[in-house]
Amino acid sequence: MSEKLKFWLNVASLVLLFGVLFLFSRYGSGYQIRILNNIAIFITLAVSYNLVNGVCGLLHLGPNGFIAIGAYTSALLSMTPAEKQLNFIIEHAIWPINVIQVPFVVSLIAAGVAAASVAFLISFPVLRVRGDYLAIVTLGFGEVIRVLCNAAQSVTNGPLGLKGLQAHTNLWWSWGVATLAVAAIQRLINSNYGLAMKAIREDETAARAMGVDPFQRLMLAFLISAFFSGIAGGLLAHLITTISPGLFTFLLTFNLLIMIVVGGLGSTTGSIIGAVLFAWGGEALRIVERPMEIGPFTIPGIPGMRMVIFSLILMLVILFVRKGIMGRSEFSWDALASKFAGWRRTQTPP
Amino acid sequence: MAVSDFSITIERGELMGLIGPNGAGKTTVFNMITGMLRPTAGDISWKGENITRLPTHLITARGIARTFQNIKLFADMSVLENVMVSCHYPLDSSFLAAMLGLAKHRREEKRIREHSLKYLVEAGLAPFAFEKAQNLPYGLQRKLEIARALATEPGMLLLDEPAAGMNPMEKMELAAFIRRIREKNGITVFLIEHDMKFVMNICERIKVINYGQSIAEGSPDEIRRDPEVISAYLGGASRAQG
Repeated sequence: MSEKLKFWLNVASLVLLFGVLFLFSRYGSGYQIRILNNIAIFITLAVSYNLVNGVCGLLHLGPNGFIAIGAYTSALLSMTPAEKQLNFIIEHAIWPINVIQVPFVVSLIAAGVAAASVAFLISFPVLRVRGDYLAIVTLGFGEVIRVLCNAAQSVTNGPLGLKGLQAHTNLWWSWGVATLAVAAIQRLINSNYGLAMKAIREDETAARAMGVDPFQRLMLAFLISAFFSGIAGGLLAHLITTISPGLFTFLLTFNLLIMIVVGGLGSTTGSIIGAVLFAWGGEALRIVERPMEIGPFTIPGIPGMRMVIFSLILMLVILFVRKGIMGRSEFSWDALASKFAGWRRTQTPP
Repeated sequence: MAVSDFSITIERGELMGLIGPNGAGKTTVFNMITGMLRPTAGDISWKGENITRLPTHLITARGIARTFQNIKLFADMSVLENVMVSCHYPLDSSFLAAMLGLAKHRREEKRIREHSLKYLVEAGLAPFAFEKAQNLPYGLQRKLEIARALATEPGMLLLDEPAAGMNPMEKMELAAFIRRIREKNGITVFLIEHDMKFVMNICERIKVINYGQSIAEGSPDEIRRDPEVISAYLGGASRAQG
């Protein structure tokens, strides 16, 4: 298949995607639009998380910290001074937070930059270690950020959180960012930078001997991942319009981990599938949290049952399909075409 | 201490062998040269520069490449990608160019791809370019390691037991391959090998190491006759010859 044809197929599928989004934005219910927004944000988060965990092979457990930084940065920057005054009732916000206000798009970029800057700082201790140690350090980092959000009353408004944000996030914002993130990250993975990251995952000693500087390459992945996580955090804040430290617990990281493991560690396509399944499945599974009547028994609704089911799914995936849905392979038009050709052959009698 | 009192000088363009009994410290010498282990005392210089304390990737950038005793390929990557990783160092376009898919970056990717293919052709691996490295037969995996090291465009190539596990036919072919790449690329080769016949056949000069100390150095003939080497290492073999 020629490059040109693939390019136009890509364009066509993007047009199709945004066409469908347009129809939903016109005729869809608020509930449907909400789920679509969630899907897009989860795609951004999962794909950028997969860059570090799947492609570089680092067990990074702190994306909730970067998402929190992004969410708070973007929220604090986009709120009007008056809104902030209404929010900060126990302690006043410190200068310049109490007076600053920037357009939504600027606040999103600032969210990405803030998350990436923090990632830069912590990458020095984090990337010195590997494996379980890296997992523990990043886990601790995520917790530290959450605790800081709780404690820094005059910056983040502490446990009260920030309420009444403008609902800036719509389908165009969320899906636009998701498309950009997927395209940029996928290009990076396919480039020689991505090859070096994969080489480090496969065998770091050999990669070093081939002239790859692991620290530099891993830091690049870490920063880009944090950047997009931060932006997604900003989108999330302006989607649910209320943020508090409780939103950014380890559970958020765990959910992302489910998405990328079920989709296939190391595959961007897999991360996208995982994110869609998670966001959609999360809604579909609401049914298990409702009170149920099975014959003479009545089971009261148990909030949190969905998480039990997700955890079971994760366990089953790890036991029986460890590679996830996609393994490490990616979607490609060529593979699709050859599959289709094979299907055609079985359909037409000889 | 794995290695002590060890000193070696390798001239440009030489084909040098390093032999010694198991556990003599041969691989440790390689690990020190490539910066994977840091010597507690002593210096290593390369082209007049002291590289003792440099990290591995910078030593590679200065022109020392190596293969590994227990093959260390990027198993889940294609044969071509394995070699492309080595062309990583002289990267002109930034990661932003990569993420935006700029023309400059695409040109460079193309250059790297062609450069890598050249080394695959040289090693006779071109037909397997899109196979996963882990699916190659053993002998070809060894060759891929050499091709991957060559793609870093080294001045000196360190080969750690390149002939291990090969049959006599493959060994002959490997010897010819090593001679050919040395001629063609004008590089220095320093190799560790257990197979005496292979070493004696291919190397111009041989260094013998035992218990971390160098015990002899010279041409294959001198080494064959050296009494200390015979007692330490070739004892059985010399009896068989005599």
